[in-house]
Amino acid sequence: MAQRDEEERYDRALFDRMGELGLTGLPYPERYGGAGLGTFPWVLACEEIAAADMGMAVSLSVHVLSQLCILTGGTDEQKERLLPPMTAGARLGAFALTEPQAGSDAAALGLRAERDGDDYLLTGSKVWITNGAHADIVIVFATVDRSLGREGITAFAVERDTPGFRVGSHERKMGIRDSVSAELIFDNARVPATNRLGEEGAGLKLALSALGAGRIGIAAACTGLARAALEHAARYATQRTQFGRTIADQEMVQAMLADAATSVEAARLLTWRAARLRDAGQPINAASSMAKLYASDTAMRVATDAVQIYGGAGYSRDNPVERFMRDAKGAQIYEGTNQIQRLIVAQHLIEEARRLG
Amino acid sequence: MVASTAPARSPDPFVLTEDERAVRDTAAQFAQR
Repeated sequence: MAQRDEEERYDRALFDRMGELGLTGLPYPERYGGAGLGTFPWVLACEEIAAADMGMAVSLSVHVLSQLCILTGGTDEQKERLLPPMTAGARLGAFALTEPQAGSDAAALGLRAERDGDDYLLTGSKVWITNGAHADIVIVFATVDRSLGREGITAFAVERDTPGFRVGSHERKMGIRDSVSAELIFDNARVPATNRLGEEGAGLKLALSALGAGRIGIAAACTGLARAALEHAARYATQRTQFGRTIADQEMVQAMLADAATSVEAARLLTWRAARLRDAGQPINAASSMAKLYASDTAMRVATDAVQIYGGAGYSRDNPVERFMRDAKGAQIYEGTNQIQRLIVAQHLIEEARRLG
Repeated sequence: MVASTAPARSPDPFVLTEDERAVRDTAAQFAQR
């Protein structure tokens, strides 16, 4: 793990192994090769994987997110054709929404899709695409007419061997370095209309809906990272001796551990609640945003405190807690920044207040 | 690798079913490698 972080190397064999174990299609219907278990078992798996390897958890989470776009936006033919190899882990998925000028403001995307007979020609680029360098199927969001704004955004399942599609540069990241984030370049990439997901103009709604569900997996991964950081810090505190006693005997260290343990439990409960709500068919927009926001902030705070408890040893790359800190920072940014999550929660609250008068 | 702190048996509505525990344990075993 530490070596892959150092080398910024994605290990496809690990993903293949997750496929063999049935982890790559856990939430989705057995009809399409999934385990049919829904969201809750999925978050249990995410927490465990992230506790050891946040990059692999993020890769798996994005793979599952890309399948959700096909499941909710695709036709029966598309689901039967595209999903089984993905649920089995034989084909890796990616989700391509972000562009250099369209991050939080996803509706401002500029990648063009122009109809050409039975195909679309896609032109433009995407950036920061998790799994992008290795994916076999990329869910790409493009506009058929920029003047239509969000009503022009359309989703496509773009396969790796599509003419005119290629992988560009890799981002040189602070953390989650064993999960490669890449630029994707589309130069009149010819995508068959049979790979359009949903109607023209339905893409942004599909993307935002999928991201709402995807945030629950990210929250679970953050809970796993925070838990791992806490357990490393607690163990180190019982071993490190200063002033004739272990630092675990220092009340200031105890306070950090207690706050961390409380936050990890709270993050898990918010995550589990969002997952249970989704499995019950209830609205999850605010719940998944709360879970992602709280769990990623918890991961950052707990990992930072773990480095503090380790002291100089924590600042060294010879110990894992500095990696936890670098990995946690990304989670406050991707899949919707935590500022965007706060806006979603606030909008939900305000709508409810207005509805109730 | 660290052990899960998620309780095997906890108050409703957070009791894990056999399927859920099996998934968690499979993922934990994968992560421990």
